[in-house]
Amino acid sequence: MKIRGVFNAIHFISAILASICLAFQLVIISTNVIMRYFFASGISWMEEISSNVLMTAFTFLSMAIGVKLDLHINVNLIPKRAPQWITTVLYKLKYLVLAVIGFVLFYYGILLIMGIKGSIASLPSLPASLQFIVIPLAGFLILFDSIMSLFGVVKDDQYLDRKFMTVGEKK
Amino acid sequence: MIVDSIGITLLLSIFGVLVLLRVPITFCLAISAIITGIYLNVPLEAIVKVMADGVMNFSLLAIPFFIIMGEIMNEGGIAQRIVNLANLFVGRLPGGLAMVNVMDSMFFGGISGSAVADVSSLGSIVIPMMKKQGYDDEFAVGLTICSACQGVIIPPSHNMIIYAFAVGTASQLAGGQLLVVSVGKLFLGGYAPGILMGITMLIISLIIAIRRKYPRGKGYTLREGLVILLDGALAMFTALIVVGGVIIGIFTATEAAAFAVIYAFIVTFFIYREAPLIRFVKILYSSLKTLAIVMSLIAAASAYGYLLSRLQVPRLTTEFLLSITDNYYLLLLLVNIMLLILGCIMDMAPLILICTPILFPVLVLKMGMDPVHFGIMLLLNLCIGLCTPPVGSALFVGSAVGKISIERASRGCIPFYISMFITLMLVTYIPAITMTLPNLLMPVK
Repeated sequence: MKIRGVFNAIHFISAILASICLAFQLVIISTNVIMRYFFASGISWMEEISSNVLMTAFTFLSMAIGVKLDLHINVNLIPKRAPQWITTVLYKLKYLVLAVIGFVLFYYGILLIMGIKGSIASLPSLPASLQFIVIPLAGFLILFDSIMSLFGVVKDDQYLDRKFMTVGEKK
Repeated sequence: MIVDSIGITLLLSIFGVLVLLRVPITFCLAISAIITGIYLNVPLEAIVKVMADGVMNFSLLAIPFFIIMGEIMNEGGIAQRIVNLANLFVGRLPGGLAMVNVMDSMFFGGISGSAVADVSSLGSIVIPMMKKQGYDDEFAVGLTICSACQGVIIPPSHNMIIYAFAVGTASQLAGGQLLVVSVGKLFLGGYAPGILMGITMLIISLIIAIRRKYPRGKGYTLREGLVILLDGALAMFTALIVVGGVIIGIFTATEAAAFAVIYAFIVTFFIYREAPLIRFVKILYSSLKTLAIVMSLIAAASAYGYLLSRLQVPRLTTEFLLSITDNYYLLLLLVNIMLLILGCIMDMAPLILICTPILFPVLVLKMGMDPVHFGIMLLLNLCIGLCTPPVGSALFVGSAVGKISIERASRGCIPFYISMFITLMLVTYIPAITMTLPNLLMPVK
C-alpha cells in the first residue's frame, strides 16, 4: 500500500516535470524568435537545451506515464470472444516485454550515464550526462509498473488522470 | 556483401509476432531491436543511446507544439465556431449539415492536424445536430469519420513532421547523404489532395442528401454572418501563422508551431474565454498523454531503424521490389495496395516510421519520385486506414461519439471510402496535384 503511494507520487512528480519541460521549451523557443527578429540576438543555448535535454526528458518520462495509463497503441486482431486464458496469457506477455524494456532502460541507462560521466556538453557548459538523466528513472517506473501488472497487483492506474484531468473543470 | 539472414529474421519476426500478440508497437520495435542487438553483439547502452538520439532533433519539437495547439483548440470552444463558420458557407445547400460536416473538417484539419481530435470535438457537435434533423445515424457517423481524415493531409499536420524526420533517417539508412525534405513544401503539397478529398466527399454527400431528401440549413442575417466570420477567422488565423510563416521563411516549422501555440493560448483564454486559465494544466497533461505515444514510437523506431540499416534491409527490399517489377506505375500500385492493407491493421505514426526507411529508397532514390509527392501519397494511404476496421482510431472514436456499433459506423463509411480511393489514385498517378503548389510558391533555386 505504501509502495503504491510512493510510486504514484513519483509518477505525479514526473508528470509535472515533463509538463514543465514542455512549457519551458515553448517559452524559450518563442522568446528566441522574438529576440531574433526584434533585437537581432538570440538565446545561444536554446536549441541544444530544447532538443537534447528537454526533449529526451519529456519523451522518456511520458513513455513511463504511457505505460502506467496503458496508452501505447497496439494491434488487436484477437477476436473478442477468444477464451479468457488466451487474453490472460497475452496480457502477461505484454507486461513481461515491458519489464525487460524497463530493465534495459534502467540498467543500461545508468551504464550510459556512467560511461560519459565527466564529459561536458558543448553549449552551455553542463554535464553531457544530463541528456540521459531521466532514462534510468523512466526505466525504473516502467519496470515497477509492469512487474506489478504482471503479478496482478492493483496499482491505481487512474491516479494521474484523477489529479490532472479535472483541473479547472466546470462543476 | 554478406547478408545476415538470422539477424534479419530475428528483427522482423520478433516484431511481427509480438505485434500480432497485442504487445504495444513501441515496445515491439524496442524489444526486437534489443534482442537483435544482443545477437549482433551491439552493446545495449548503444541501443539506449540511439533511442535517445532519435528524439534529440530540433525539428521534431514541432510535434509537441502542434499537439498542444490541438488540445488548446479542443478545450476552448473553437469547434462550435468552426461549425458555425462552415454553416455560413455551405449550410444552405441540400443536406446542409452534411456539407457543413465536410467543410468544418477541412477548416479544423487546417488547425489541429489530427483526425481523432477532429472526430471527437466536431463529431460531438455535428452528429447530434444531424441526427436531430433526420439524417441516418450511419451516414452522419460515417461522414464525420471519413471527412476527419482530411486533417492529416491538410496542413499543419504533425504526421508531416514525422515523415520529414523519417526521410532524414531513410536517406542515411540507404547509405546516401542526408536528404532533407522541406516541411514548407510538404505543407503546400497537402493542400490540393486534402481539398480534392473534401470536394469528392461533398459531391457524394450531396448526391446522397438529394436522394434521401435531407433538409437544408437555416440562413443568417448579415450581422449574424459577420459575427460568425470574425469569430471563426480568429481561429483560422492559427493555420496562417504556421503555414504562412514557414512558407515565407519567417519561422522554421518548430518556431511557427511554438508561435501558433502562444496565439491559440491568447485567443482561447483571453478572447473566447470559455475555459479558465488553470485548464492549461489539463491541456499540458493531455498533450503529454498523446506525446507518450508519438515520441516513444520515434525513440523506439530509431533503434529499430539503426538495426535495419546495419542489416541492410532497405537495400534488400529495394532489390526485392525491383525484381517483381521495374515499371514505375505498377510499383506505385503495389506500394499503394501494401500501404492500404498495413493501414488497416496498424496506426499511422508507426507505419510512417517503419515504411519510410523501407520504401523511400525504392521509390525516391531509385525511381526518382519526388519526396514530397511520396510523402503525401504515403499519408493519404495511411489516413484511409484511420477509418477502416479493425483498428482505425478515427472509426473507434466516431462510433463512440455517435453511439453506434463499429459495424454500423463502417457501413456508413463505405460511400466515402470510394471518394478516398479516387483521391488516392488521382494523387498517386497525377503528381501535378501535389506538386503544383510547392513548385509554384517554393521553387527550387
